[in-house]
Amino acid sequence: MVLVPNEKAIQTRVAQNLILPYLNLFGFNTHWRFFSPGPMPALYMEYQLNKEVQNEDSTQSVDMIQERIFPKKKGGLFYSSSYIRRLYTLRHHGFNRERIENFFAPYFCRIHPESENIHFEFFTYKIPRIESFEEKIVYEDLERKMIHELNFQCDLEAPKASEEGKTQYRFLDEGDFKTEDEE
Amino acid sequence: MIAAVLGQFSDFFRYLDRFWTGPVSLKALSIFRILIGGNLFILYSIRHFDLKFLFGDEAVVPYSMSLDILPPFYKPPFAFFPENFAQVELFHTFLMISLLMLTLGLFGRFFAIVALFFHVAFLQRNYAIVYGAEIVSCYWLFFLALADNSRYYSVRNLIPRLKRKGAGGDWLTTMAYRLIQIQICIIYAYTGWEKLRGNDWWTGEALWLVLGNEQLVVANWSFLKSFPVLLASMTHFTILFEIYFPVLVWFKKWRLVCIILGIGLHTGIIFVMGLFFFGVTMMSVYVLFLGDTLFQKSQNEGSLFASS
Repeated sequence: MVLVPNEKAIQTRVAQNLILPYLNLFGFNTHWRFFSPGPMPALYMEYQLNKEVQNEDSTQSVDMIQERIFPKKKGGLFYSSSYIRRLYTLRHHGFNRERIENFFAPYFCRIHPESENIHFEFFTYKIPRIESFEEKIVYEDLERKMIHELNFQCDLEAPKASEEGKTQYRFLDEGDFKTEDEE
Repeated sequence: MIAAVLGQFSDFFRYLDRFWTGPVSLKALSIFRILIGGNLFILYSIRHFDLKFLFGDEAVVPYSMSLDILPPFYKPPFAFFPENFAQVELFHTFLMISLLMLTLGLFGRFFAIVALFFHVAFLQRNYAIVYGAEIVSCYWLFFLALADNSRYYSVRNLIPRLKRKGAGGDWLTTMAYRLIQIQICIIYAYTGWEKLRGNDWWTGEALWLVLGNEQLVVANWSFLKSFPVLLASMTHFTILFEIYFPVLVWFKKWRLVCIILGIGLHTGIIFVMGLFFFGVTMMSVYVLFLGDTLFQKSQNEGSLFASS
């Protein structure tokens, strides 16, 4: 109860071999970081389903099948459990490139078998300071800050990201969020 | 002088004995049981319609990789999550039944254990979709499994054959009661201290960053930008509340104030962010702090160290 929220403490490191198996068994091992150390920014994901097509001149090109957003924007005034669960799924995976490549991207390949290649964009919006704010937030007008951008080959045997993918955040521990600028 | 010092120690240990094993309000504990059981039952009833995406064959995390998304520090020693969709549906049904039984007060300890088992099974299955209410509920279910939580406000009391006689309560119940109270203090303390590391909380802008995040709020609150001082004050109030609650709530003079402020905080979170289930999970503990005031204490069989 007291030790494990501070996982990097010496006491926790000394005691962890003894207590962690029991705590992890009951789901007690958690750090209490509700909006701590700061609120996480919004994370958005847009993806584009692509299919390779054979052109008349025997060259290959990529045709876009569809553009989508995940999760779909919630409608209405009230809480939507379905939306929140999908949002948490996105937030759990979206800041971490390894999780995207191992779990998230292959999931979209599975649910879109018609696509051979999926282009992902994970981005956030920088919310302006309160003093410099306009009348109402219009998110489409805000500056996009790209977090990950990658093309994912939907090879059913071994899905993998192409070398063109770019990452502006390095691999992070769970719950951490830093840009290279802030380090 | 030595006798005086020894007397002080003796008083201290008597106080500790009374704190950990003395009588507590079983009515308050029963209300806590109803709030937690009912809250989780409704939450998981809603979740039941989304099982395929969350835990099924079509989930983001395949069955075989359920534990792979957990960092090594968080991995359980062994897993007991459902491994196909038929098991998912079965486990989830049993989870809901056990939560309903717990809420109704039928064999509270037993069904708290059953509910905890299935609850943790689903945490292991897909940790990516877990949020605050579910993590905190692990603790509450565990402590309810230790406590005599269905002595009052129980369907069992309506059936003469099943109605239990005696005042009820035991030292284990008191320990569980105290551990719940201490755990909520730990949650607030760590959350508050962690916020002190964040620049946004120091500058008073953290609340604005939440209100401005359309993904988290249920309505457009950007009109509040006209009240920057109010927003900053509410930001700082949040930290102060979380840091001082764990101490002040134990003093009778401050207890009601702390609880009223806590209800205000969580009610605000519910209205602004729609996190109803999380709010109820946290606020339900407050009834245990008010147990002494609102209800008469139980007559426990006796403390662990003293004779009855």
